[in-house]
Amino acid sequence: MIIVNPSPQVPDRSRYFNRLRNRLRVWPWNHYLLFRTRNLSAPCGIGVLSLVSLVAALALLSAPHWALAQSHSPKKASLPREWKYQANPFAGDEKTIHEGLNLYRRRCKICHGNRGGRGPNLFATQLAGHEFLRAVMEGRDGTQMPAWEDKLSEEQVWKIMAYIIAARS
Amino acid sequence: MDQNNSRKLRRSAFMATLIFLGMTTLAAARPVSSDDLMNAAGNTSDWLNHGRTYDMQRFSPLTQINPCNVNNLRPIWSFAVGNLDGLEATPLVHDGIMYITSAYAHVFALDARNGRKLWHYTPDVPKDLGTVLCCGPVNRGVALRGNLVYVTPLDARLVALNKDTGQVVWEKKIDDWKAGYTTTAAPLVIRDHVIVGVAGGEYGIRGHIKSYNAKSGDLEWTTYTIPAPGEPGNDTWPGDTWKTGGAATWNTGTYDMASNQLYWGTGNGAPWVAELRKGDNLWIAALLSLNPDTGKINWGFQYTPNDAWDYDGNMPPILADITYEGKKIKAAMQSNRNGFFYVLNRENGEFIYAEPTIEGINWTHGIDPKTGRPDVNQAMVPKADGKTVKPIIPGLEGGTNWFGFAYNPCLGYAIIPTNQWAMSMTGYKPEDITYEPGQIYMGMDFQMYRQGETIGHLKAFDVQNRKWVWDIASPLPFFAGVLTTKSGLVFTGDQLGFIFAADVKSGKMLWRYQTGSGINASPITYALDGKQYIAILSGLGGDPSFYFQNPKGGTLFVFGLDSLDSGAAAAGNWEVEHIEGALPNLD
Ligand code: HEC
Repeated sequence: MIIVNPSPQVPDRSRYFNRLRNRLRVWPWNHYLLFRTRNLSAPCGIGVLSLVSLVAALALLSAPHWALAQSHSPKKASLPREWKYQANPFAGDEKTIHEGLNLYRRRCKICHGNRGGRGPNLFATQLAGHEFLRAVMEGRDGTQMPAWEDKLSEEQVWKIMAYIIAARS
Repeated sequence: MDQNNSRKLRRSAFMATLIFLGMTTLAAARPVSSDDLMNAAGNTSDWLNHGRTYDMQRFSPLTQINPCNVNNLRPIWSFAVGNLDGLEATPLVHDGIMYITSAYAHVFALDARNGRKLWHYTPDVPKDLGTVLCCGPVNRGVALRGNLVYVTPLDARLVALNKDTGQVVWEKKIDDWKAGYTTTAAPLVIRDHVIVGVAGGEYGIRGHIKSYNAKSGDLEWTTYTIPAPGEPGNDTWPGDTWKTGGAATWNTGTYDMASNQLYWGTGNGAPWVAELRKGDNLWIAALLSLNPDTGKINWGFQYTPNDAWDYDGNMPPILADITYEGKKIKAAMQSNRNGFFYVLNRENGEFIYAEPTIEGINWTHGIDPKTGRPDVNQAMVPKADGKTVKPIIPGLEGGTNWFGFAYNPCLGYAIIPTNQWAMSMTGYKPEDITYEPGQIYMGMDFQMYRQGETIGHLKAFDVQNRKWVWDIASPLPFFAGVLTTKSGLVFTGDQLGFIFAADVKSGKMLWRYQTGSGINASPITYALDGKQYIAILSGLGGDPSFYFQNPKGGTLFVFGLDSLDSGAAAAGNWEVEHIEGALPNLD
């Protein structure tokens, strides 16, 4: 039996695809911005913009209250957060790295796999430190990435990070 | 009259028209009786049960679309569900209305003539539900009975909606999602019972099937798929392992009207490392026959005793009467993740035969021709020792998986989406495998591998002569259900995004259409105003999204032989008054 595509030899394209996916998620708006506005001559572009804002303004002025209330979807406020640790307290610690591995296996691997899967490859993520911590605790609205703040402590997430960094090298 | 009043008046007139129009469209939708569900075979306009008929054949007697004209098939209308998670549902059609679900168990009722949305149900989803979803936020469809539409939102609930408005009539908690119990399957209605299963085999649940009263939602019975101490079969589990042994019931069931037997498949054992639960582990990876009125187990057949490879047996069986080796057999047929196609006597669970659906199966040396029991190849059993075992064939996603194959009774062919692939498995050390409610309890790492240029093979199997007839190959795994028609067609979809039709006799590809995203759902056919349609949901997600990256999308496509502008398809209320959230009038 020939295994054509053993995993380690497959070029990891998950980062590229994640970027693509991020773009696709807000389609068609940034598609429009990326590809269409470039072709519009300036006056025409301004014309479209002012028309849009005129319509929007009129809509706002004339909208009955219930319509306004509906158009305001509650947005989760992104407040600055207080963390206990400024840097990873567990970096390089053998025992906690193993704990981090087990946490990763139980909590993250089903989606993030060994090299990405339903979520991006965390062994290649650009996020580090508090950015990573925040992504994990708050999750990503509108994606499959859940919020872990009720399930994991800050220490546990630092342990997962310690494991990921150790596994990278 | 001041301006304000005139506006109010106009608005209430507008609301009244809306309600009136809504009622005129919907008044036509009759309640669904138990007889309607039982007699679905003769009703070619609707698609009332998950597999059209209770026997799950996914076969339609419609003949208007046939091998001669299928290449004229074209999209009539489509409907975007509005998110990018995978679609796995089989649509139902009743009295001109189509009911579909999308990810997170959103339910849409659509005018089946033109795709106009009648209502949309959005279940609340806990923000950390993703922490217990092994396989994406998928849902496989609804069930109908009376004036209710039943759906199981992911967080282990059964919800009954008013079929005309989408309003919640009642809802019941099936189990605790925080302990890893979730729900993804279409419920099954038998007379006044709504029967549901649960997912969670990767989280160490103890699987069960529950029945609720179709009208009141009262719980009628619960049957665990793993026996407790004192119940027959508990001795196949060491110590307390039965409490967290898996055997989830994450797909729907099949019903035999003649014998009043309900058939339900069960999933993998937990943890995946079989060494930690020595014994057969009844009833993991098995088919159960139950009495739908009491939940009592009549018999069980275990496909993969002590399953060590995540070979769930959840694909519902197809029931058909066949002649095999000169004998008439009331058969239940199942295509299994472990790589074999099983034929059982559906009256008593007796094993008739098992046929490999893919090449190179190596987890077993063979299947005992008398009992159906596999002779396990110990070299392919991963242990709790950190060592990697590979290649194991088939990989855990299976020779096939959950999506329904179809049976064409005119030819006696089962048309099965199969996948030729392999895997490695590495069991963790015992100290790293502990049970915590709501956490992964697999104890195992795995990697799927392709074995060649193609993984997916849609194959036709002559059940009575035990012969393979044709094979359509695809570079990506097949993960969609199959539809077959009396006119001699087979429809399914692939991960490249094509829905296609082939000649059921020869496997010759006759038509295909690119839907823009991978197909993981099952096609159906229905007829309205004398015209036959084909419908399918397209949207990559679920497990396949693990194995390749193609555009995501979420769209229902309906195909027919006429263009949109002819006949009823064009009708519908497309005027501004019927458009949700349209700009307010400037006045
Ligand atoms: C149910 C599936 C799922 C689980 C379980 C899951 N994730 Fe995610 N995760 C995702 C998805 C999907 C994304 C991509 C979100 C997006 O597109 O912005 C993601 C994104 C992330 C990101 C942002 C990465 C980047 O480069 O932007 C981090 C960090 C992350 N996850 C960490 C974790 C950790 C740590 C765990 C385990 C505690 C975990 N995830 C569990 C699905 C999951």
